[in-house]
Amino acid sequence: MPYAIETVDLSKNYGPVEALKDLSFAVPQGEVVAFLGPNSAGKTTTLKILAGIMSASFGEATIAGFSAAWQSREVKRHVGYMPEHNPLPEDVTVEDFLRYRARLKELRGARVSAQVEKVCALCDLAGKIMRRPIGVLSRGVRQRVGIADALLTEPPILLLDEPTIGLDPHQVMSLRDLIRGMRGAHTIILSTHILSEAEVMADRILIINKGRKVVCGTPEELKEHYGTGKCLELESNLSLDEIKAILEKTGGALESSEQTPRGLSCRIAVSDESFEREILKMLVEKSGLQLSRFARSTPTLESIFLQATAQKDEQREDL
Amino acid sequence: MLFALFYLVSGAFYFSVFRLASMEPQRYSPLQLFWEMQWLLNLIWVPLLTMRLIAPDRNRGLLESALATPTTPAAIVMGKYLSVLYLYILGWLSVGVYMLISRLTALNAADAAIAFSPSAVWGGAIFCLSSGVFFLSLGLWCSSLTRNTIIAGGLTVCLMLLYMMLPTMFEQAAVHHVGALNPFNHLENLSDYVSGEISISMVVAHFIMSAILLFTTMLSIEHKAE
Repeated sequence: MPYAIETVDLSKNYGPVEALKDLSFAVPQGEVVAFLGPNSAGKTTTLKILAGIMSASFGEATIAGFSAAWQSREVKRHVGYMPEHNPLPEDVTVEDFLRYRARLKELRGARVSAQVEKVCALCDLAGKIMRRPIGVLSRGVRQRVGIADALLTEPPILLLDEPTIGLDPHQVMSLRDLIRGMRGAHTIILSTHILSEAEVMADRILIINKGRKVVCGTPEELKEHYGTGKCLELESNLSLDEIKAILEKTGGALESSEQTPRGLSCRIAVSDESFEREILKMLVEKSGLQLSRFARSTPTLESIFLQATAQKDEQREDL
Repeated sequence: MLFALFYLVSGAFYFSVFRLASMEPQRYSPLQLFWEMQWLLNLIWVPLLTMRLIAPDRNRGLLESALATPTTPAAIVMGKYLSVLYLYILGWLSVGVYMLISRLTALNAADAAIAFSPSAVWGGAIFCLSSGVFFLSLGLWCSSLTRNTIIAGGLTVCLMLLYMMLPTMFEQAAVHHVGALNPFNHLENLSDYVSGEISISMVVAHFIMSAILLFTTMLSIEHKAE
């Protein structure tokens, strides 16, 4: 399968700081990849290199078959990039801004108007909004303007750096629908902090930490690899000390605990099913026990993310 | 707003010079005296035009966004430079309007012919254009060095003043071995141009220095994107 994006041992140094180290991954055409990582993990640096506006210190990045280092102009023709915080001028109208950007992107003559109208319709910007100054628009509409800008030349590849940052839930949903609608027609790399967003929208998830790839796979593969059968959720009227006493005897480890209206809710890491049986046996022996929940936990992307980014640098996996 | 400010200041300046010069006999025509003071107006006009060219774009991330398009840094720099040069010329054209007004309202045709002799009109105008080509590229370069508009403007004023005053300051301090700076003595060259002694070498020097600064600005933009 031809890859729309491929990086091999991509590294970037800012003086003595290693922002990226030997990052290798490939994205097949038409796939949506969520790019996850804690702050300063190197997500934005990677996207800037892929967008052709920054050069890598070492390694190679190929976008739509063009080298990001040597054919950056061609790369820019094939990539729609929406930078972090979506910088837009405040004092021009949406229409004027998109027309200006269309000309920067080498569209000429009647194609400028045609493409501006097309992306405005696609991003729900048609009508009065087009004639409003960007400065008076809500955050959600401004994000849609940023995506419309990225789509102007109908590039095969879209790089969206935290497109839903700062949006309210309604705006997030609307933007998600927009990006979902582009699935298949564009190869999309979506950098985000919102894990549920990655789970819902992405075909694959790439997690990086400290500039290195930690893991890459589909959400199902990640859950299978990191979570199944390893956690137990318990909610009862027992105290924390009583739970700890049980765990001392059975060997499980308390991951987290939280007081809820129904009692103490605990998350317990267990190594196999025999521990679950042991714990259950000890619980039922307790007099006056009110057990409101006892279940294997479904691993969330949050827990996977935390586990993955807590791993040592050497542990890198492709699933 | 910028234009209104410049038109107001340049108009007040122009007519004040004419009024003061007409009070007693002068060695030079009022127009020559006005052109001799053009550096003062440029100290306001050039930073006002150039300080917002790149600094706020860098601050808001718009430069990065522009660099993500197939447009080259050279095209971005030249686009900004040529547009600001156009505005600079448009600003100074106001002086042409003032000249026309004062010429048409002059009481004495013979005096008017002397005051608006071709050398008085064109010498100052050519120097204004030639030095503008250089100063605007200096302002553009200063704007590429910082994210702060005010710092960009301040830096432009300081460097313009330094360029204009340095040869004179050396001369005052009797530092003779810096005679190499003499051809770049801005104020002396201005006086020569205004009195009709137009030297092509100064125009060429302005264009070469401008080209170097524009190239440096382009490199600066490329570097800042990293």
